[in-house]
Amino acid sequence: MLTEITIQQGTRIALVDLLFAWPPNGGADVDLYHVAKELSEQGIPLTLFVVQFEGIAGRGQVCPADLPFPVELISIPKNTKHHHAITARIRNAVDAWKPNAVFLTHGYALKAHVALALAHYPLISRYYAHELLCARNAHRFKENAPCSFNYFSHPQECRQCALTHLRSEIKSHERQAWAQDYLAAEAYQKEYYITAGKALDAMTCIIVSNETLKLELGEYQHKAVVIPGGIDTPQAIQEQEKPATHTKTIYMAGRVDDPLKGLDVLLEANTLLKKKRNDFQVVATHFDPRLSKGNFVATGWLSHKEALQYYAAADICVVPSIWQEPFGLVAVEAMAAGLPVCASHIGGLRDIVVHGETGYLFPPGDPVALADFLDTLLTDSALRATLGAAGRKRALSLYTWKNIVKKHYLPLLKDILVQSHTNKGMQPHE
Amino acid sequence: MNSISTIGILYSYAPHFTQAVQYLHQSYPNARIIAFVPPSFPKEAISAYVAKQIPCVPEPQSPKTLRQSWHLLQEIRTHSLDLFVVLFKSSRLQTVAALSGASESCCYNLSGNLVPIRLQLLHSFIHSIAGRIRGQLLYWRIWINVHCTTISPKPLKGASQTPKETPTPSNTQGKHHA
Repeated sequence: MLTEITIQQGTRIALVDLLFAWPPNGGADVDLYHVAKELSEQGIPLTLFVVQFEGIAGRGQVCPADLPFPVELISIPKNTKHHHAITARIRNAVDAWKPNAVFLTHGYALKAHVALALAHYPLISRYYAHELLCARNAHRFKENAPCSFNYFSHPQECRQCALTHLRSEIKSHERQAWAQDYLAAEAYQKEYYITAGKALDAMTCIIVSNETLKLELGEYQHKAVVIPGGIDTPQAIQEQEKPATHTKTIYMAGRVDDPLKGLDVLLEANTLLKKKRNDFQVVATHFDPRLSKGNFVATGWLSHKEALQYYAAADICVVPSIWQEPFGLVAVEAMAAGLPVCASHIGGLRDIVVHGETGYLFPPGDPVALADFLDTLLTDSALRATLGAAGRKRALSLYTWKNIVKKHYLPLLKDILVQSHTNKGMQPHE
Repeated sequence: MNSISTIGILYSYAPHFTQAVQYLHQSYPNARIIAFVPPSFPKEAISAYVAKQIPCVPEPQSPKTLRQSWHLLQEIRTHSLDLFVVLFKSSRLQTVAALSGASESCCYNLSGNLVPIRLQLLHSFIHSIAGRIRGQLLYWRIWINVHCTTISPKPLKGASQTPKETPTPSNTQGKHHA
């Protein structure tokens, strides 16, 4: 048992995050929260080091008392803008705690510098989307399609693309996190290319969210581990009696206002489907209720809890993303709620949905294929129930946080720690 | 903010507009909330939380004119607000807040916090201009760096390539049509 080993040997894990905020700003914060919470509950001594940039809203906004594990805030003064000074502060704070391994979580361009500053530890680095390979943002999506370039193969094109994309933010004095990191890390410099490569060399292990991302790591694939995100263990679903003639609901949840999520594909499929039948409605969690028209309902803004409640009334869930979705939390939540899922055959969705068993995978951006699958599911209630039950079983066995940590993180940490004890070059920091 | 009896909130094409209205309704249960919205905004979306909806905001897609802004400001000032709430801390909205005639102005940000807006017009203006000049200089310094130096690529060996073309329907250009 790793837990026994770590407690006996006093093994300490430092988690370092450059963007963490709680309440969360995004999926990466939620992921880190659950991983740290579960590891902490397993008895592993850990501290989450959160970098707090003074005067910058949204980064490092954490009240440590709200979190069920120890948190140390590393304050970066407003006038400290260069990566040398920032990484020195992070390194000093982490060194003072004397961890045996460092788990570097969310960050953008600064992360490469931080990785090098902490390279004297066994270093696990987690990537949540495409931030490692895309210089422009974490989406690696351009001109309405996934981008085939990556920073390591096309550095010149990528840094020009990043500069064009960030132009207005650089010129203004109201910059978002990506632009802040881009400037502080000097990611536009020629030298950053070497830093990014050295950072990959320094990492003991690289965690990514799906198999496609792992394949793209090329020569670093041997260091890469695929660990998906997870969900809270859902409450038992109360089966709602739905009359055979009820208006069936096709549900799309998440940030559906983001063009990457492919709402237009669903709307086009809806138009095609309406020519065949009229016993259904499409409900989407779009923040603007003015979009509601005909059989399409935009819910208006919903909290995550409220959005989850819509699954109970839905019959089918659709995830029509047109970007390389790193994970696909919505698909897992829908499966856990016992719904069949129609998802794009792209990114992490391919790992989550088993075609023909828990739902259907259709070519990304293909409304005709989506409409055909929806037609099949709307017609056959027994099929919906069978796929939904199989999906729920799969979601609960593979994607609850408890199982994710037990199956993936604990063995990984054990391997890293054993390796660090046997390898003199990787001795725990004394 | 205890003596607030009339609150105005200005619609923006923002994901947190209805969230902001709900927040104000909960935080100030005795206050009269007035929402300044576009004519096409569905009243039922927020009718449970506001006392009045005034359709005086230009539609998000329509071009903004000085005349429209003048009419909007006149409408806002009519209500002698105690608190005026906007959804972004942009220079334009800060100016609207400063000219709203409200005793206090706040920004309800995407994180769900109500942050006071300072109403020092001249200071904001100078700060904004200075920031823009610094930003321009920084941008062009980076532009020269990026375009006058080249990097010899060392691709990750054995890396798979993401397919360049993903089929998308003809009308998926980021516009939503219900």
